[in-house]
Amino acid sequence: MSDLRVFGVRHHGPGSARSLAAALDAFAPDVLLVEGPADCDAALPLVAHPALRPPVALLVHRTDAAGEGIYYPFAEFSPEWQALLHAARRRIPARFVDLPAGASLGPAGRELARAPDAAELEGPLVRAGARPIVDDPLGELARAAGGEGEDFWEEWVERAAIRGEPVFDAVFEAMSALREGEWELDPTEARREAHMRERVRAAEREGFARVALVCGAWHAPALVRRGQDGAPRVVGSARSDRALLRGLGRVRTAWAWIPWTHERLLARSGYGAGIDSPGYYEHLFRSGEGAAAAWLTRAVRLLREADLEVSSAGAIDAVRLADALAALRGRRAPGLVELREALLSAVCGGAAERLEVVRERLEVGPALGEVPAELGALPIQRDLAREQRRLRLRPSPEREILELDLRRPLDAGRSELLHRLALLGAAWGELGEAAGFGSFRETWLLAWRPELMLAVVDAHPLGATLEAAAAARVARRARDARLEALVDLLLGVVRASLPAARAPLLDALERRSARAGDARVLLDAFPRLLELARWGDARGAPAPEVERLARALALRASVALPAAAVGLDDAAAQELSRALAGAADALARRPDLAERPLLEAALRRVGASDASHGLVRGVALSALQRLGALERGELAALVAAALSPADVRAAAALLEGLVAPGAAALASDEGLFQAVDDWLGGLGGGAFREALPLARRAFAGMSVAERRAIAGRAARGLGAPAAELAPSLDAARGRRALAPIRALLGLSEVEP
Amino acid sequence: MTARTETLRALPEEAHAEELAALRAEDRRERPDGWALSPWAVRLYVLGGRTDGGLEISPKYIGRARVVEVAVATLATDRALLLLGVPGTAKSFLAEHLAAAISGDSTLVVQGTAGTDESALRYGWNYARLLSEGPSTDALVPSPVLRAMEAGKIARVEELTRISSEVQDALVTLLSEKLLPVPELRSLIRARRGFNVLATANDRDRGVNELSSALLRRFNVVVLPVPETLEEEVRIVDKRVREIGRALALPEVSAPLDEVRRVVTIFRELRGGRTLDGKTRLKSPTGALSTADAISSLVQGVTMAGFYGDGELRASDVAPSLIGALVKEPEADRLVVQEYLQAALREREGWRDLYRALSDELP
Repeated sequence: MSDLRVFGVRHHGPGSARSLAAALDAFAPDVLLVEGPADCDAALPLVAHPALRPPVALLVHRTDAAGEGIYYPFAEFSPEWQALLHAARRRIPARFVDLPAGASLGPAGRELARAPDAAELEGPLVRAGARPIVDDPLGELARAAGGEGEDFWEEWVERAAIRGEPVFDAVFEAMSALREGEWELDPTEARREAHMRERVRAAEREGFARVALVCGAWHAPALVRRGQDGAPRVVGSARSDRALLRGLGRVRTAWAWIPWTHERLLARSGYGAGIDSPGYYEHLFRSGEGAAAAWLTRAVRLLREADLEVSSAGAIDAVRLADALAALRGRRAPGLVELREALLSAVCGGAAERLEVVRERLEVGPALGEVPAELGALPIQRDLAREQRRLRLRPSPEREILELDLRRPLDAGRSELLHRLALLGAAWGELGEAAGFGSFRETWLLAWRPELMLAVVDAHPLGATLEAAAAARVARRARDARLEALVDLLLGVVRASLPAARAPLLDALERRSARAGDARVLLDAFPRLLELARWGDARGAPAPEVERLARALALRASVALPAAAVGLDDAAAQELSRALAGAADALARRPDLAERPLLEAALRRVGASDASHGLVRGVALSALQRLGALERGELAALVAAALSPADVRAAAALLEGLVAPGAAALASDEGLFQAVDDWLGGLGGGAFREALPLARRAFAGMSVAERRAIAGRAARGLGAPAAELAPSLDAARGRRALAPIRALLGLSEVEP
Repeated sequence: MTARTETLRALPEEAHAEELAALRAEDRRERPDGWALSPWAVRLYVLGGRTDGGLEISPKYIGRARVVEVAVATLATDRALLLLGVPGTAKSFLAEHLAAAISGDSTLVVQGTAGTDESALRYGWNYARLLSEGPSTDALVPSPVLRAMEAGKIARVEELTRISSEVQDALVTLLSEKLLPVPELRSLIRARRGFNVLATANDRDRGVNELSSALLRRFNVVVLPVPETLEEEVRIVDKRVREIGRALALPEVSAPLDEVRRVVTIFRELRGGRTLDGKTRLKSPTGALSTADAISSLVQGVTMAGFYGDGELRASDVAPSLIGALVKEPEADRLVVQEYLQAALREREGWRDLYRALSDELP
């Protein structure tokens, strides 16, 4: 008869973890059974690998169909992790005893949830849809004791365990009481517990003398109870458990250790067994008793680094307040609640927002696990490693600049890889913006960060290779992205050469643009698509299709534009003007577009309408001029009509839009200059004073040379011949500058 | 009920003398030096509940227990305490009760104003005696703070931020050294155990003097929250209106809880910028719209109903004072309130009378 011990724990309880390690040392089991997926036993000896650092997760995923997987996270302070370390270091066998993950994934999972044939079963009724007898065991216990969830558990279990109090028996009894009178069970839960019991029985049959079982506290009383003689025994009958487990499906699975973060251990990240403050729990685990003072010292140092004025006595004051608070509340030592309140009151002057940095950097913490490459076994991770080798790109945390010449195959491959990673949300590098789409050069600023591997791992359900995953990700994002985002995606897809993603993306673009009515969005997207169509062939873009799309956008924009220029505030007018100028630039390069006359007509309507915002109106007029759509003298006439002395603001905005692309038109178009001059000259004293700063702003964006040209033009008065605009040269002054220039260039001192 | 006295308002240690005596008699827990009660009993006195011996203690402060616990624990560590909050969060009220429970004496108080000078925090002189006898202990006029130091009690400083910064600085060394030199007498007054400073300040008002960081470092700061829920605020307002009514010996008026709830609802909606059902956005008037404002408008309403009405609080009794509390800046606030009446109250079921009364009163 083997000696069986059950240790019911909270999955990430620091006190349980510390006392479990001690209890296992004392008990010295010859086999260790842990709640976890039974198809991953081979992963367990690896926990002692020196380069495997928690937080990590065991990811079990299907191999027969991509996509599904289950994560089992472990932190340093997880009791299970400590138990597995114990087993690996003592070289005793460790086994996972929960249902295999393969039995709960895909079609197998649906069978698992089906109610069994009741004939052979003993114990509680197993019924599909049965609710657990207690929804929130931890909260239930806390309420019974007059406390609050996590705070209660921290005080009475985790910190008591750190002080060396025997908590396992107490927790076992509390959970037994909660599950007393349980009369029905959900099939999945019932089968998990049956499987755990069966694995314990198997270990006993194999003849192990000292069996340690580590499982969630909730399960413990359903697995092991004391028998008549006081010795722990497995609950229930093997016959009933086997009947419950009969005929379950199973899909093929593989596992991998992957890096994890504290952030992902949070309950609010959607993780069922999540906790509120992983960083604090880690601290409790590491420092044991006396954790409060050490915690406050760390917090005060952090606050000082965050430029908060905290005296060195601040930590002492906080410790004293925390202790006094704990005493007032009848606790033996301050918990996280008291520590927070003490910091807030004694150090932060009551300003709660100052504690945010403590919350983020200490209570949660930036911890990121490490998994050595040889344990990273996900197909997509292997693909990344292969690509990195093939393209000779070594991940390094140092920032380095990578210049790529896309005409060389190696560089083209590197560019593809970097763009694919960016599409997966794992941006290894930043692309320098200087190079346009038509250039064959790309400049990247590379810096590998460990959390990029998380993004790659997250992408594993999407495909086995980076190419497949990136294409799938794009297709998924295309489903509900806005027009601007779709254009970005299309650019990314072409650069990352993902032909598979093109069709769904073009489809989405087609549909979205048919519904888009916002002139700014349309005008924004139009030039970018046009550029893509122009250069696309060289990079495998479907140029004709893209061009067709661009033209459809132009058509819709020409319809929407006149109405869109009305009733704008200044900020919106700025945005529309920018988009309009960009679209006009693109249009100027393509005189052959069939939609061009339509857009010109729309611009003309905007330019002629008093209702349009002044700035947009000015930009529209100058765009018409550049497109050569205006007769000689027409611009001057339109501007003269638009510059009203009544509304100085609108007129000044128009002026700003008009000269935004440059001063050339104003300096050389005699009629235009006259129109502006007439307007300024015709303003009354008050209106002039109002117009002056506005007009000044309009000219502020010009270069000195442009302003000088206009000022010179104005100084000469009206009707002066344009030829005089050319500046006269002063040869003597110019010659004096030659000598220093020669010296700078290192030329010989030869007189010209 | 407390007996009616000649004073306008009873001190907490008088009004709750029985409770304090009973707590003191039962209290077996450890007391910090100079304290009349243990921190645990102080907490119980302020928050209310039942003693081990079964005596029912009335709650004084309604709100988050954690806030009171931090305040009591701070005073127990002999660090000074600063209660911070917008008007109407019961800062002074809580301070008074804490002093009454800890020292049995809430009267050692400096009421801070822009005109408060150093002698109010340290000591002054009786000039007649000073001239005739020269500097002597008898000629010295101790401030409440000095008296608290000598007696080992809590000194209260109300409205600390109204006191000018130079004068505030007098507290800096006093708080760190716990002693006060009197160079004129070549002597030194040292604080007895049990002495501490409990200050209140308001962080929302205009015309306040920021606390220097040196002074702030010597205080633990507790921010008193505005009541979290409608029901909590209704309880507070109802309780205070009754107490004030009794203290002022106003004629008995039944102020139905529903009327209190309506008034508090108006304050909460305008303060929060949206109706309680969250459906309508509202503009907020310029005033602080504190719980204290709600209390005083109701007290005025009760007075009106008592002296001029039929003994029952009606919408027309509350409306004038309510408008007075809401409209602080005639032009801007009038429009805000007008909009609120139209957008939120006009169609509200069962509010017709209040809507009419308020519309009539709006200037």
